[in-house]
Amino acid sequence: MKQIQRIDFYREIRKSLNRFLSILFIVTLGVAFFTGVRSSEPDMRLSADAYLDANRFFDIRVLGTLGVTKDDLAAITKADGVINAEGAYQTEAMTKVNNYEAVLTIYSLTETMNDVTLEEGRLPQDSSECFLDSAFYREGDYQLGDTITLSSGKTKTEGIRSGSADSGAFDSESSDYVNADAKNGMSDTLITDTYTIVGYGSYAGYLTWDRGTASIGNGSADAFMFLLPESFVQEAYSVIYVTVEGAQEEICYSDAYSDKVNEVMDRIEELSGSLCTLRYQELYEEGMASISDAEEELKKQQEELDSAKEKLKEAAEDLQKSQDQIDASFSSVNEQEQELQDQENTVEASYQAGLIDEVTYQTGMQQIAAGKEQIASVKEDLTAAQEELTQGLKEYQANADEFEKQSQEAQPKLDAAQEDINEAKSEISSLEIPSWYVLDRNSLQTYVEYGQDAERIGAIGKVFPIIFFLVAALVSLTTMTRMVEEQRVQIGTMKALGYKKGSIAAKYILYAFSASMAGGILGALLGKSVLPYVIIKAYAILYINIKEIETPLNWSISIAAILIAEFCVVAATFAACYGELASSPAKLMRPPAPPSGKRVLLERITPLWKRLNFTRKATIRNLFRYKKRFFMTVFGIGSCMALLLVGFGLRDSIKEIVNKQYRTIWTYDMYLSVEEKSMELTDMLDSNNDIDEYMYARITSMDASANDVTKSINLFVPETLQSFDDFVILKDRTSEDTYTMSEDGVIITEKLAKMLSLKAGDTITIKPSETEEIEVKVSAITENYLFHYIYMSTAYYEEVFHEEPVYNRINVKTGSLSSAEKETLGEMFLADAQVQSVIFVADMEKQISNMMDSLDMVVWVLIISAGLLAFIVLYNLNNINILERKRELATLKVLGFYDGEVAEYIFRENTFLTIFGIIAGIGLGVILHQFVIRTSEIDMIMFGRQIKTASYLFSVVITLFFSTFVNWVMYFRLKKIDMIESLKSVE
Amino acid sequence: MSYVEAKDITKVYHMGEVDIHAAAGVSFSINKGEFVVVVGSSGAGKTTVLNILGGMDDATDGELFVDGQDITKLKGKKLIQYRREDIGFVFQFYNLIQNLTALENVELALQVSSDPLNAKDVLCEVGLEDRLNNFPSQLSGGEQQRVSIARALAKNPKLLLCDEPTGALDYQTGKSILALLQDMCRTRKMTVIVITHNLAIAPMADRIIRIKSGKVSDISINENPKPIGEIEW
Repeated sequence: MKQIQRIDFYREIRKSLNRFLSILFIVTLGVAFFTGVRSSEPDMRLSADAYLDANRFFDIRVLGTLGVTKDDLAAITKADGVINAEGAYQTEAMTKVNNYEAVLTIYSLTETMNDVTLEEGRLPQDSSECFLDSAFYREGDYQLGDTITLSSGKTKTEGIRSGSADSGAFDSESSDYVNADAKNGMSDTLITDTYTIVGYGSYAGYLTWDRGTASIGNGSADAFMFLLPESFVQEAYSVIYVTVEGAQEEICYSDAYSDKVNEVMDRIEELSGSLCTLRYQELYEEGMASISDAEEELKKQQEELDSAKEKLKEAAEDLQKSQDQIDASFSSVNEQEQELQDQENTVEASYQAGLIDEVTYQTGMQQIAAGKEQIASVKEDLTAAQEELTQGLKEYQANADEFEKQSQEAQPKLDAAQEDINEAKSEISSLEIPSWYVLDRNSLQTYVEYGQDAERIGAIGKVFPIIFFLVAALVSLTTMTRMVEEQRVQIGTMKALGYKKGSIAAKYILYAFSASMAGGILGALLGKSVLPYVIIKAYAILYINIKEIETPLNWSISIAAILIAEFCVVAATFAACYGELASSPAKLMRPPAPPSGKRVLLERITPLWKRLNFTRKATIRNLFRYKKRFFMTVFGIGSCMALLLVGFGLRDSIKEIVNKQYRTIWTYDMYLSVEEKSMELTDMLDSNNDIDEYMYARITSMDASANDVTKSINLFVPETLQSFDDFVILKDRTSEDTYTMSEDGVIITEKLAKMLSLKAGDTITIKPSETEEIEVKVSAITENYLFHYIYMSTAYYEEVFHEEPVYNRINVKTGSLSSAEKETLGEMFLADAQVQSVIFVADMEKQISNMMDSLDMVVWVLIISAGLLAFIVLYNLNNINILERKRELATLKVLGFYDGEVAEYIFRENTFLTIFGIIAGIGLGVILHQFVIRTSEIDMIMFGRQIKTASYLFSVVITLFFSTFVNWVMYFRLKKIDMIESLKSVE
Repeated sequence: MSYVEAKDITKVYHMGEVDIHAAAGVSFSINKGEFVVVVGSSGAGKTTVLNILGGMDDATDGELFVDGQDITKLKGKKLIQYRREDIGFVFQFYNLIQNLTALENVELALQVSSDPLNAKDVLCEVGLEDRLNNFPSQLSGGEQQRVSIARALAKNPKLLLCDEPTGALDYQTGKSILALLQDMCRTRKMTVIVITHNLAIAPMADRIIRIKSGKVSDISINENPKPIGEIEW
């Protein structure tokens, strides 16, 4: 460029500042929007990263099925890539708050990582103090210094997982190892049940209000709590937290970060083999030792019992022997007595017969008498002995009775001891080698959700900026074309003077380049800070912990945006110059042939055409005469309309979830989680006046797959089909046809069907456990927005599962209840031991809709951007329109048109263009809305597909408003048009 | 008082610190139905006079009466009304609306006028009965200027102002346009003011106003105006 050309260039900018600025601003907007929306995703991650790093949040946590030991910790600490590791305890407990049993996840404080953020108070310094979840602190209306009493809660039953899914917790892959036990006290895990609250605040493990899942209570945790490690009595750590070397320098969610972490995770996995075996042996030996101790003890007791029995038996034998002797003595005495009697008889008979003399007789008789005497004394002795023996027998009997009694008492105890030993034995034989769960941050639900939210913003960022760039390109094209047209003569003159094409074109290209460069830089600076800030701020409503928002300049995105904008604008300018530069100087210096008037199709309809007045005719012909401008304006206004429609439509779609799911699909008011159906429950429900209707159901969560895709689903089996449609409405979304469950097929929800590519008549495989697979037929696909469900009739359930379903849920319909009535009802149910949790649908609905509100801000960003876009495009187009037709407008003024009439002449065109634009925008918006919804919704949720009539109306009204506003601004420009223009020659 | 009476009209443009006197006391009078030629070289101030006369610009000072109404006192809407009702304007470059046919271009003017003539009649009168439905781009320069004249005439104005009406036309066509203007003046008793730098056409006028350096240097009355056909230049 020569010196003079440069002077011309600077003067050109000064002279046509409006034009320069219009390119600058459209590029600013395009680049700002692009960088803003594109940066939001990385900025969200960066903000999370900064927060997590500041709190020294772990990279990896290691859980063991049998806990983790100090040895494990030592080994992990030594592993390559681990810069820090610390063991911690973790347990779960329940506490009574307001009208329900809240489930708390209890952690031990760690010194070198996982900092908690104090909101008020201090950290525990004593084993009886605790640090509490700030949300729970407020919910429970606690004061610092209050105590909180824990109980271990009920054990988990199989249906619980669905409960957590229903209460809005998205299914997470976390599988915490927690030492929960079934007894009521906490003595197995904690030193005491009661703790003093000394501080409250937040923990980076929970980014939202969601507290994850639990293995007790209704399956979802309500709060967290931190204690000193001294407060725990567990024999092994529950978890080892690990910080990975160099991971802090990386941004979480990034590939570089996961690469680093995965590498270390693999290493820890490798360690797990030997350490787990070690842990197994340790536990096995411990168990075996205690079994053998118990066995010995049992044996000793048994032996004692046996020896007692033996002694008793000996005593009985002794007694028997004595009895026998006595009996023998008696009989020999009796024999001697008989003999003596015989002798006496013989002596008497001999004496009577005179065979023996008197003397002999006398001596004989005397001898016999002496013998008798002797016998009598012996008998006396024997009788005494017999008496003694009888006494002994009596004593023996008493002893025997006593023994019988004692041994009868001892036997069950011994049996029980034996059984315990058997159990311990079988336990030990079934003791498996433990395994570790080496988990990264992706095992944390809210961490993953945050990542998904960031991704969703990223998805929006993929589509929208394109529209802005297209519009920027088109605006530049028309603007630069106009500029080149205006300067035809100058271009011709330059050519005639001998300047080369390139050097002539340089002015225009440089003009466009500098305008778009300035706009691009401005846009990048503006976009990088404003949009991400607003978006992250909006998400911060949900992710309450992330308070510091990082919006650094993202070089790659900014440069990409500026380059794209430069390319669009410069290419458009080149296209505009190219035609003119190719013409001969002579042709360039002649005025261009005015675009000729043309008849339009409408004129063929004579009756209609005749009724139009001339300005109207001119308007219609003008619309079709300036095709480029027609297209530009329609596209510009259409984009505005489309963006607004997407913005409002997105809002509708999101609100629709809550509205449709909780009002038109789930029509019950509350549900109870129970262990099983029981008479008492039924009686209680029947007798309650607040309850209109109730239905038992079984809800369990499991995996389902088809076409190689597996998703986690909730299997819903209602006890009866009769009143089922009073609680859940199954219907087709578009045709509104209602479905009923059949005995040979299941009804699945829409999003599930879409993700598994299923249609009615196909087969879906459900997996109640790791090893079981059951194929069921899909009979229909029903409208549903939250989570995935498979509805199955009891009959079909029995057929495929070969068992009767255990009902773990009671869906209840109540009349309209005041909040106090609800509370009373809830308390009443919870007081029953069989009821695990009471959830009111209205509370769930509120919770979810609060969460959805944060997306509103994003929608407003879209709406405001759309408005700005519309304004810039319309202003620019009107500007060109007026510049191009200055002469025509001046003529009209000379002819005596009032200002209003002149404006009308232009505005009528704009009105038509706006209407066309709106129509085009509706089409574009509907397509775009569908696209955005499909790309930004997450697995568990189906957004509404419909845009409400009100949103169409709002979008139209806002578009019209912008159009009118621009026209109003333009009115003053029109007024300023100098009539002298009409006297000038055609340029 | 004459039909048009200009009294000491001045027009000063402030260009930075310099004042440019485009009209430095212009006075003249014109009678109803006269064919007037205003001549002067480039920059003499004839366009300024035309602008003020046509209600397109206001005078810095002075009075201008048209049919008894002082138009220098008119402001805003009143001034537009003056243009609308009282002035017919013929432009050097015709300034037809490209998107309207000849007939529609005339009708365009009519719809802002309170007492218009029939558009078709006027177009026939200017000799375009065969080109009524043609667009400007389909007409020759002379024909376009005829449409422009028809558009001005159809409003039935008090004054027909023509700014170099032959400036963009060739000699013969220019002559025929001037003949048409003269004819209209005679048959319709229309007051026609033609502004030109071409002194040669002066003989056809009833009154010749010469302008030089923002002042009227001479006003001459032509008792026997020549038909344009007899004038050569």
